[in-house]
Amino acid sequence: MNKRYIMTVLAANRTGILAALANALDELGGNIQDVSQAVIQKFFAVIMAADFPEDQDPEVIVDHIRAVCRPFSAEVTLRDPSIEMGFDGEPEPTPKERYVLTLAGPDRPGVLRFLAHRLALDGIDLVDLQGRQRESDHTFLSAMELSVPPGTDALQLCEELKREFQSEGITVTMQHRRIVAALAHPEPVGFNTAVP
Amino acid sequence: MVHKSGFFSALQHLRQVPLDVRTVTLGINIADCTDRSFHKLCDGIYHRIVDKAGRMNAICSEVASLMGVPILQRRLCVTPIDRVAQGFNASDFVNIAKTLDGAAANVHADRIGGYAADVQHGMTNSARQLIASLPEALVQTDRVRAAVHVGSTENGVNMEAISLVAETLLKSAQASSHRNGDAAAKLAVLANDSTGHPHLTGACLGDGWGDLVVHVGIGAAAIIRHALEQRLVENPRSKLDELASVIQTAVFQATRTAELVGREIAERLGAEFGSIDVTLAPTHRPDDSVVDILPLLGIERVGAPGTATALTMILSAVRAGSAFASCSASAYSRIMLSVLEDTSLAVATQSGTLTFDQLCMAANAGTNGLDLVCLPGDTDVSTLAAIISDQVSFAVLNRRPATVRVVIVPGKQAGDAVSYTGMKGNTVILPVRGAGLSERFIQRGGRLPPIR
Repeated sequence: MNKRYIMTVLAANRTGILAALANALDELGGNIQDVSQAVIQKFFAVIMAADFPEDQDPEVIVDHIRAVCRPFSAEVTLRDPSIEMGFDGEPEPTPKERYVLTLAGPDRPGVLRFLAHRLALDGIDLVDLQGRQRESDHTFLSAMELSVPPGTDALQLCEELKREFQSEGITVTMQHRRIVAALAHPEPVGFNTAVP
Repeated sequence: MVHKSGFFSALQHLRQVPLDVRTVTLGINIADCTDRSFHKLCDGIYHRIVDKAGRMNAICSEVASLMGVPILQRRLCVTPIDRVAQGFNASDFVNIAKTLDGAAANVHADRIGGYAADVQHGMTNSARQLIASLPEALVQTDRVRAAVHVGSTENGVNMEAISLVAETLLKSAQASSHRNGDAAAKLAVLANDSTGHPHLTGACLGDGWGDLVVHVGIGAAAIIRHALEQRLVENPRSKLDELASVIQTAVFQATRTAELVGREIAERLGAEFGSIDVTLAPTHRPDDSVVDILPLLGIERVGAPGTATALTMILSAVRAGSAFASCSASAYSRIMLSVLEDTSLAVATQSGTLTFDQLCMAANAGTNGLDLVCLPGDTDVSTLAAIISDQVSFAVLNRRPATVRVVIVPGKQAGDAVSYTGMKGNTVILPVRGAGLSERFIQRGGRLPPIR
């Protein structure tokens, strides 16, 4: 029997960090189920769901990874989802629609704060977020994937966000995930299997 | 702001595409509604339309909201009425037009096509009655768009039908003289429409389609303009082939989006998905015209030498982009220079940079024909018939469909300004050179033989 943990690793981004991490996991009998990795400036970060043998002590897992990745000054956190507080444990009640939202324009403080509050009002989850500032002209481009409850009017939401950010010169687009897929994949639209 | 690297570059490209769907057209088969009883015929047509299209408006709104893609117009088209209503007189046909109008209003459709007759060989009695009903029918209805198919490459051109339609256009204009002859704008003369091209103005549900079919149309001008502007910021010295590839890519994206939206609507309506029309058609939004693309390519004013070359390049790229995007893309993408519906084009005619002769000759550079052009109120029937037959001839010679919509504005002279509340259009009356000099040619009547 295996036990699932959620783990994050923050380390210096140098060649070999992923190899070291994969070695450590292999030695612990771990198996990655879901993973997302990002590199921001000089740092490497990864969050993953991984299964380990049930008799594997969590402290041993953390210590071993930390030891193997010591040359990269790795910080490791491990959480057990089965005993975490703050989750209601219920599955998502209905399938949600996925959208890609992009914002671009002059960098202003408070854009993300406003956006996150506005999305939360409609029960919209922000499931992926990427952004970058360009220092030469103080502009930014941010893209995020939203998980939107059924019945939400995407057209209206997009128009509202456009109006909100228009005065600051920030442009907004919101496209359904299926449109993004249709533009990115050359398969015929009616038979597109790229996105479920 | 231009981000040139990987993921962000891709996202930025998505960001700049102003995707929308210009038209959703639901084709409804009403051929089996035919009945000897006039009341049963009208009742059958009305209930068929309301039954099949009752949810169209709501579904279009749902899908627009879901996909985040605006849908600008919702249209209907039905089986040609001259086939459905046999044995009735002109006043009965007026009531059928009112029935179509009422049904379209009930389901909140913007337009309904199919009030149409095919007279390319000759004229059945019902086609003759339908044409006779047009002045009254078009004045008394709001949403109905009529069409008369007068010729094709394979079958030649019915010149007598063209004369009759020209006469009908004049009567329609006179009957709506209090509204500057706007009824004439609802009547299209079609050529090479043997299979019922669903995207032509006033077109019907043609042969070969199923009982219920959803077609979508894209107004490609805005998306092309955005894409070109972006490329020219990055490289102001872009060569024409580079700009053509930019147009192809933009049209590819617009076509894919329209197909996704159209298929979703079709599925929810229980209809087949038909075709995608990628036409450079105007909307009333500012800068949303093919005329606004020309300056980006280097033609400072529409009508200047080089305009035809630029239009040909755009059309070629549009066809290439849409053909790669979808097997359902229509093979007859074209450019619509609809003066009354195109703010930029109307300005060009008002300033005198675009003349009637240039609009006529643009048909040879892939335009749709002569569309929504206003002519002086004293234009005689033979001149009008000759203008129509010229456009029809271009179409049959070039083996492509064409539409002619000409508005004769009663009481107005060349150079007078005219405005239409319903179409939200302002333009000037264009002078016709050589008016009255084709009378004997038109009066000969008969047919133009097929093009060999």
